Amino acid sequence: MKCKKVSRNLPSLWENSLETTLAEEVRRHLGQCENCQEEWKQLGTLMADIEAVEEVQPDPRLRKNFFSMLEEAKSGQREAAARHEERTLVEPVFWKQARWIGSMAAGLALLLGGFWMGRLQFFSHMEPTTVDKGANQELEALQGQIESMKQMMAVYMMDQRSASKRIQAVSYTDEISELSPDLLKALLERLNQDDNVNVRLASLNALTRFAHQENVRAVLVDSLPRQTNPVMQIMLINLMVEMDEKRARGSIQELLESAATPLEVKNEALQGLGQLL
Amino acid sequence: MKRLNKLLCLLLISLLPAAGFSKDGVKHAFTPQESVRSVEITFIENYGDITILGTEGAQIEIVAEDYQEPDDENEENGYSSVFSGGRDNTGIGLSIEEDKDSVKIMGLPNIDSSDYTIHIPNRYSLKVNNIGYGDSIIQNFKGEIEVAVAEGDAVIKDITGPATLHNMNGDLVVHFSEVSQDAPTSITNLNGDTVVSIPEDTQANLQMKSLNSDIRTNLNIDYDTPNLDRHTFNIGQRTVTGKLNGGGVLISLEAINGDIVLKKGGDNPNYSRSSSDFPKPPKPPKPLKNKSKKHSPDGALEVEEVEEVEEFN
Repeated sequence: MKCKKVSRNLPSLWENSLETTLAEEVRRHLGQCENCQEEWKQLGTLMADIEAVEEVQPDPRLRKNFFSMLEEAKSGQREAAARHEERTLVEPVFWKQARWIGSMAAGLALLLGGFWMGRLQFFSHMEPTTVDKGANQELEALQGQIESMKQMMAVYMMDQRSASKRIQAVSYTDEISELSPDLLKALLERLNQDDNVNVRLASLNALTRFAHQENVRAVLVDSLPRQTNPVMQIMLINLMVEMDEKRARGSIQELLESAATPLEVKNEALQGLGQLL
Repeated sequence: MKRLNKLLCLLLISLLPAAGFSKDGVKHAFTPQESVRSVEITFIENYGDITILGTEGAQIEIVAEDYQEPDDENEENGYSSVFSGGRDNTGIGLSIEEDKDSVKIMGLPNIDSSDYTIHIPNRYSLKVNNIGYGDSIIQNFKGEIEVAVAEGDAVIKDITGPATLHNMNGDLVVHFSEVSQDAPTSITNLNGDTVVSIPEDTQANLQMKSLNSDIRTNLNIDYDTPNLDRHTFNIGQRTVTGKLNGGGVLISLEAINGDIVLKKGGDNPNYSRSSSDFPKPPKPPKPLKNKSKKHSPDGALEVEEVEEVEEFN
């Protein structure tokens, strides 16, 4: 049995919904293949996360806090109040509350249901629940869990055979506010090793969003000498100039001097060096 | 002096009778196993054009327009030509491998390369890598499509995507009959112009970026407000994002030196290579065996067409 087929059947195996013979086959393969074992383990962690989220859901306290938070917003806080008042003009408070709970419930339902329905399309259908500044801790914890799940999902999906699907996984990071080490590693692998230049470019764009972080900056500097496609070289040189990243001067200089560098890249390298003085 | 040598070489070779045996329109056809889902086509050093047409049938059919067999004087003695990349198991300069999931068609490097027309069931996902010198024409595919071209123009029409397309030095003309919402479509181009037409009612999130050239569109795009956060770095000045018909699948178009044109697609606009979008420079003749440098989609050095040849004509 091929790893690909095993991988496809892992979620069903977790659910115990797999036909006995097939399940046996998958288990046998799991015993032999380290990669699939790793995937199985990752799936386990992901499931544990989903279960953790589930525990938060039916808590009446959360509900009460929601109402009190709304009351607070209504009766004062400047920015928030202004926004809330504007809304109050158009729609009655009742609807506002209903919508809050509704969107929260929908978010959770999607969170749980979406995964089973089709893990590949999960995030594209999920509306992130909006949270006001005064949001309580439970909500923040929930938000954090959603975020970390998105991160895991992106990591989990980033190694697919289809280039479009890899770009999709990379694009999930658009909705993520912080890079986990795993996600950074996965994006970096796409940036430096993917055999499709469009995927590499997509991960460059994704990482550029976090280029104000020193750890991301460092790996971007490090990536320039690893790139062989002129599109990537030109984009990276431009980014180094934009970031005023003097550490990249060495590798830009090398590109300029190498006989293998295409003319259009040399032009950018020359301009770049002039600006990075 | 070097140039003179090249010219002499050309003259000499053009006077010689055609070496080898020329086959016109030779066909190779086979039906892949039922389990096959994808076809991968690679041409590394081909000078001919590659046409890939999607069909409703079950057969893969390849026509070599004017294939010249390599000069194989020693074949009777148990020798045969060898190529990097595989063994010619078709008799028309191609190596074809098939496994349970996919069919791999590989053009073997041959200086007298032929034009090829390849008919493929259009339900397969398609991956094309043409780092030869000819143009690529791809038409009528309903699945995922991945194309990387190095030198020639690529005309890709009647596709639905998801598409991942890249050209290095040629134009990229793409016509979507519809745009699949399954996964993002991404199109990149280094030096050539990029013309993409999609149905007017396509729902999409657009990302367009051009470093040194223009972006033009006649679609009604709801543009995002530019992100002025000082923490955000932007590569290049012209990055445009926006939504089309309320948003949908991600379509990203990025170019370095060529223009990007995103336009409303007609039912089936007839893109020919003499398309009015871009005037087409005359096609250089097939070069000789002496070549200089160029880069492949992966940047590795390869060979470049000998420009001096043009002057000779």
